[in-house]
Amino acid sequence: MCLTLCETLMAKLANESTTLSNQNVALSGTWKLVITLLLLLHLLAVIAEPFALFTRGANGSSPAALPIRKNMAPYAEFVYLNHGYFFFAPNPAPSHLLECNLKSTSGEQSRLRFPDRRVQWPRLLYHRHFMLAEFLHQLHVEPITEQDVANTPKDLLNVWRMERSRFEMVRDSMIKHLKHRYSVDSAEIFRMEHRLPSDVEVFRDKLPLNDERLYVVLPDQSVIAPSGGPINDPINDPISGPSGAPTGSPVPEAIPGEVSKSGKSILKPQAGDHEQGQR
Amino acid sequence: MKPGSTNILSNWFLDIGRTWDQFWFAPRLPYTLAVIRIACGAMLVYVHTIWAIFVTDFMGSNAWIDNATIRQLHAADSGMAWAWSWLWYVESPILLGLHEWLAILLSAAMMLGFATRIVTPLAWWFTLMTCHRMTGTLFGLDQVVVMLCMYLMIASCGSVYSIDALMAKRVWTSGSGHPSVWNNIATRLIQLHLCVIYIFGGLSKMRGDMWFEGSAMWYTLVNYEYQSLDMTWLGRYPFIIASLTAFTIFWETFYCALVWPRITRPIALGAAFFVHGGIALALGMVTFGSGMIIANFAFLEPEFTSRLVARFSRPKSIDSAQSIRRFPNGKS
Repeated sequence: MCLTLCETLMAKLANESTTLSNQNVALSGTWKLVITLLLLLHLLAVIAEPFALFTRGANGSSPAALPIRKNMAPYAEFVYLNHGYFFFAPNPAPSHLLECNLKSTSGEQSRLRFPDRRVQWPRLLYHRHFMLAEFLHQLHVEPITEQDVANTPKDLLNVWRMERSRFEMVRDSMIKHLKHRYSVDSAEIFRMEHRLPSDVEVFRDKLPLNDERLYVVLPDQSVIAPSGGPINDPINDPISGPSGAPTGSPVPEAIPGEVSKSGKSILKPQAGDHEQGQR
Repeated sequence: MKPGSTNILSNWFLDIGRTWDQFWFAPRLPYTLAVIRIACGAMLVYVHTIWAIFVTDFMGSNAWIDNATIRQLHAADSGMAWAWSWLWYVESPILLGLHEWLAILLSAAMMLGFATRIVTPLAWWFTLMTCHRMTGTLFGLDQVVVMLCMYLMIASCGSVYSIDALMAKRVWTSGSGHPSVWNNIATRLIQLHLCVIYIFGGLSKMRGDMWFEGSAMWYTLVNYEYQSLDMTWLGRYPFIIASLTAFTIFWETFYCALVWPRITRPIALGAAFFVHGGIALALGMVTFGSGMIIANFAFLEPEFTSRLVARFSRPKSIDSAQSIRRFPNGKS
């Protein structure tokens, strides 16, 4: 009955609009109703992902957003509508890069950094590499110890295993690419964070934006030291470094360190932007 | 319920229906969409050219993210399970290269308006396939070009400023396009989609504190990886930095309200040009900044676009002749 009422209304409006407009072919009321329903569904798909992302908290997204996201997923994901539009939000965050160590069969070593504006040109190519580095960083899930495995509930452990294996899979694929692309015997990838300097550092301390002190290699394992320990340097510590970690298993031998070198405490917190790189 | 109140209610519903009908189903001329088609097609040509030149770095079995990994990334439990691309299964560099060169041809045809009704959906499809293969390398540019292409394919955006129009022996200038409901639906979808982008862009910034306390613009400008124009000198003027920060968050959040009334539309669109132009020049994202400016064209009335294009495309001789007619003595 409701449908019939809508159709009648649309038919009436269609008649009105043909007199108002000078279009060649007017849509019938039924067509307008069908198109209206499709438009509403499409617009629901457009807002589904940003709404779910915006309402995300410690306990996941809002129950109001989840059913929309879930039901619209097939369409939104396939036609590439699943974006959060979190541009430089919630706060501008530091950039993440890939620091790569390459070693040829002759023992020759070289180091590459992605992105590198001197090497990747044009700018769009540079930006693609920048996004790759951010992508690997976003996927990163730190390994856990054997003790943590024993103490973690099974469902959480399964989630960890899935996310960790996803990170390792992408990292290994990137290593494989580097070995092929540069014809080297081995390659290592380290995630690097480029801290954003404060105005005091730039103007008073004359710190250049690309000063090496602003770049910090991020360790793969937990950074909270229960019993202290030395500052970890993954590049010079192949055992506990990112690629030194055995694939797919926790790292019991890893020595947790601090990332005081990252300087996060000097400035305001800069974490939390998972979509900055998607701008 | 009294009969009077029933009448009020039914009139209210009829008003809503009438407004809805006018909003979506009033016919619209194609000029603005044709300009968007040209710009979007040109952008797609550029995007696919970069993919084509560096095809083996990004596609195939030795890419940064190889075929097996990309399929795993889109596995059932990944949250991206419904995205699919035939490029996940293609290993041959020749086939991958052919795919991208075909995408370039389709995008060029879309830009020029040659067989627009056929090539626009194909350009969208090929770009979509590429995007689903390139997970991890994508950013705002890809989102906006796929969005524009998707809406353009339902419009008759090739009916003016196109090879199609020339072949149909229509005149290249204003007055040659016919209004269509589908032009209006496509325009409304671009407009609403833009409003969604901006409102969530603004709301998401409200979850952080830097956008409120005024330091966000500083931390955006000193991001070395984004920077293409050194604007750090602005940091010497905290008032300007904080004002730009506040302006950005207010404009982004209230764009969806400011852009509809004719009186505030120039402000909203002018700010969009300023912000996205700034992103293009200072933050090294010329493509993304341009893409968003192109999308904002959707709010320009087609009649205005037609006049603008006619003004710029009119041969100088005609202009000179008119000026001579208007000012026979050569005086203004």
